[in-house]
Amino acid sequence: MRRMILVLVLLLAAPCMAAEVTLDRFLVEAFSGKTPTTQMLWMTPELKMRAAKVLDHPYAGMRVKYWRDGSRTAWVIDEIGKERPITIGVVVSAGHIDQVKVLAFRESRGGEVRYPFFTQQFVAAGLKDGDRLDRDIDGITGATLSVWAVTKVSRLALIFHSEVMRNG
Amino acid sequence: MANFHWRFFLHRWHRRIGLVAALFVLLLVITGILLNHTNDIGLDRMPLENSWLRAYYGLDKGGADTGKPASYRFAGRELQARDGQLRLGGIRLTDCPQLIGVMETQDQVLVVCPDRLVLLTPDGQLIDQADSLRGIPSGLSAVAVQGNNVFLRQGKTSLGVNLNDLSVHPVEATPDVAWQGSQATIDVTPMDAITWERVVLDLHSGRLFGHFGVWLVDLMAVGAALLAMSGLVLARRRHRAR
Repeated sequence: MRRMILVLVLLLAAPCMAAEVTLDRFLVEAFSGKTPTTQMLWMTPELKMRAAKVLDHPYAGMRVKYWRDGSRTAWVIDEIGKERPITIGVVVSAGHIDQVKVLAFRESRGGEVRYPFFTQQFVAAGLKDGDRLDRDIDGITGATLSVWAVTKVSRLALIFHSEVMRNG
Repeated sequence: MANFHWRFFLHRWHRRIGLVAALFVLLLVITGILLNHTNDIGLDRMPLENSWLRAYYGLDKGGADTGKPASYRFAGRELQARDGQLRLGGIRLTDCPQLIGVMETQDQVLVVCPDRLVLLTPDGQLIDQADSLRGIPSGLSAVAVQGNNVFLRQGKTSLGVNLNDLSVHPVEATPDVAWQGSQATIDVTPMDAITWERVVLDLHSGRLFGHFGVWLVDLMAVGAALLAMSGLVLARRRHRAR
């Protein structure tokens, strides 16, 4: 009986856990209610090269919008999973990921990447040599391309964050 | 004698079903293997260019003439919204169900889709883009430029665009602004591009030929099952006879 109640609670809670987050809400959560103004990071040739290496294709755009408060930045980046773009929000603080949230998932499958059990893996992750994450991320069967997309965007956000901090 | 009669019966029908089903089974095998490796082969990234298949899937249907540009030429290439994608010279830039308008300034080109703004360099490189998640309202129907100011129309509302960050804000557009686009309500329906993966999927399931095709594939599947069963029985009887 207890097991049934637990399953029922989880089933009812699942939509809440997986609900997509609006950009405003993501930023409010990222900056504790005080959303900073939008800033732009222009892609230098070196950044383009690093981004292309991470994404396995050129980054789509010449500038990246971000929000910054001190050593804390937030990034909202699109990356295609299988066919459609997934919009992913990443908050980086002092060179490590503080939060990863899927803001919009448009694919027909692979949506498990929206759940905290997956995105929590990125918390406290940083970069090591070769712009790779300093930890392994467990994949999800049937959602490989979505997992790769979220992982790539996380790496990209860390790269962009380091560039912003370097520029002062 | 009775056993011999059944074996002969099974063998004859095994052969008949096999002959009929052979081609279909081959087709299923080929399409099945293709679907198993669709990502590796790139079937899911190959847009459909065949005119017959495009007509079959209802692509390239002309809508009512609403004054929106079907395509726009700049940087020596054609910019158009096709199969839900914005393409420049045939190369995909981003999602875009319809081309509402294109505004060229001295150093930038603003492309307006119903729910997205796309900023390009004069030679067609992507600078930036913003969609509904990033504050662009859906249902944009027209665009206009007056001096250094760019305006958008959403229903009866006029919006100003800040090209520095592609944000929009309500404004009062002056009456002599020349709008490019349509005053009609635009049905913004996201449209996934039809790729060869879809064609192979429909061929595999029989849906390419409508309900008849689906039933035929079901029938062939039943035939394959009968082949398997009769084959097993025949093999067992032959083994016993030895």
